[in-house]
Amino acid sequence: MKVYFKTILMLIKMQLEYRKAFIISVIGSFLITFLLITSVYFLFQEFEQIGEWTFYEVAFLFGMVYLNFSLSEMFLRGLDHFENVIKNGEFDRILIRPQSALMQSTCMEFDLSKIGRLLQCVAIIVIALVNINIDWNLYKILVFILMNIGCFIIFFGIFILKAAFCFWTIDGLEFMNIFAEGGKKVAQYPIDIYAKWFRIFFTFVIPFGLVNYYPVLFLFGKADNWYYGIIPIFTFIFLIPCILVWKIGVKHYESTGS
Amino acid sequence: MKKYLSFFKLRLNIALQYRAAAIGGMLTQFFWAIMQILIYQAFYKVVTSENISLEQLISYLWLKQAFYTIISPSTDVEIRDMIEKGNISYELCKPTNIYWMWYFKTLANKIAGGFLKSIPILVIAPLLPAGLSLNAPAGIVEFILFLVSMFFAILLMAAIMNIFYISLFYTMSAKGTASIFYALVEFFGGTFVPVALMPKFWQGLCYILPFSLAADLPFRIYAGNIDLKSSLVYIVMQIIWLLIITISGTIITNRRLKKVVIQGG
Repeated sequence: MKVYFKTILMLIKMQLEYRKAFIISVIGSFLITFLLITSVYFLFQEFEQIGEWTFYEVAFLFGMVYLNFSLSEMFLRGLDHFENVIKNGEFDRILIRPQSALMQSTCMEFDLSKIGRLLQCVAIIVIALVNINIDWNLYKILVFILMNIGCFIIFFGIFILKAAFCFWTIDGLEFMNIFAEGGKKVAQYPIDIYAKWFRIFFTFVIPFGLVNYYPVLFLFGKADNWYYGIIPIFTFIFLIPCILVWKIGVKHYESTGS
Repeated sequence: MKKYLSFFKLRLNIALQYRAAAIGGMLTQFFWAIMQILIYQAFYKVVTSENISLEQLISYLWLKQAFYTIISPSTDVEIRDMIEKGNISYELCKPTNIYWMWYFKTLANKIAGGFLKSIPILVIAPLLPAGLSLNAPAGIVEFILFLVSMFFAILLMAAIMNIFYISLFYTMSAKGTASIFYALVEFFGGTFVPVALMPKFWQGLCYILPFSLAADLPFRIYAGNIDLKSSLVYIVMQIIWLLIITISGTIITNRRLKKVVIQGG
């Protein structure tokens, strides 16, 4: 863990050296998120609600999903671009170091420019929460934190899976974006608005339903079942098959590059 | 002209080689289209929009996905690297105009990748169960106008992308500039939310700017969401924008190339 943070610190210093490029990147990612949430706002201007859900409730989910996605992009960037590590044979170097291969691959890169988006998502969450009537208590705060942890864990799992597939395909697969980018888009809306087959996939295979539906029902007082609040914990189960695939991948690895 | 055409053919062949990637991309496209349709179905369950019917919107979403490669602001890594890493010096040695070289390169990539990707959707989407399927065009006249506006949309989008490459000479940050460009084109082009569903003021703004003329207009014409008279007006606007962007693009490129600084070592 100490090594991880030290590596990250070095990478941050590196990026701050190119100031103009850095500022433009921050403006860029800020603009995308701003225009995305504006688009959601436009839709609610036209339709007022989706299913039982209002704009601020959806905005809250949007904020939470994008916040954790940005955190994943920031801290797990190395996994996101793992095909580069495989392609130029750098993974050989990783294997001979006395640290876990997964940990090293994770901190190969660090993208600070996502910081703009991060703050923006926090702002969106705060604005949404102010406008939603919630009876806050200690348990609900815990639920809120659990939801965010769960959301991050799902993205972590997806990123590991995405990287692990590179062991077989060498190149990155556009197909894998369905889970990361697509999941992000899907999870913006509570999963009860989708058709049944779609809902089942995003609850039991990619478990977004565990963070963006059941705990939200409890948090917003739409359901009284207190145990809905601890459901996000089960996202950790999703990590098990992901890490397993990674381990099999490492065994399968044959060096490339020169 | 001949040298540009043979260059165009060369790029076309290269782009067609990536067939495996195209299959993965195809699955992604179907996923995106169906997901969006599911979301809008949920919206329409409560209130129906007066601006566009659900059937029209579904056709619109399918077509948009089908031709996404053509109308999306995806950038060419080779050209980006040329500017950022200094390979542009080789390019400048060639006896060709760099603006048109890049223009035809972008066009070839978009057309080869784009039409290949559109075929599966155009074949499969009309066969899906009702309420999820791509409908036939609103009429023969609409279909012809769709083809005409699509033709100009492709040219216009390639010209817009060229403006992006030129702007790299000034910002020198491909990643950041690309994301700003992406945000503007996707938002005003109606990819984040279809222009027809935006508030009135924003709709007006969208149709003054070139982005929605390139990325939104043809599909609305196909779905029958715009009456014939306004369609013609918008097509004329496409041509005007095409001229403005191409001419200003060439002028800026030529001026900038006189004082270009080669990056890298």
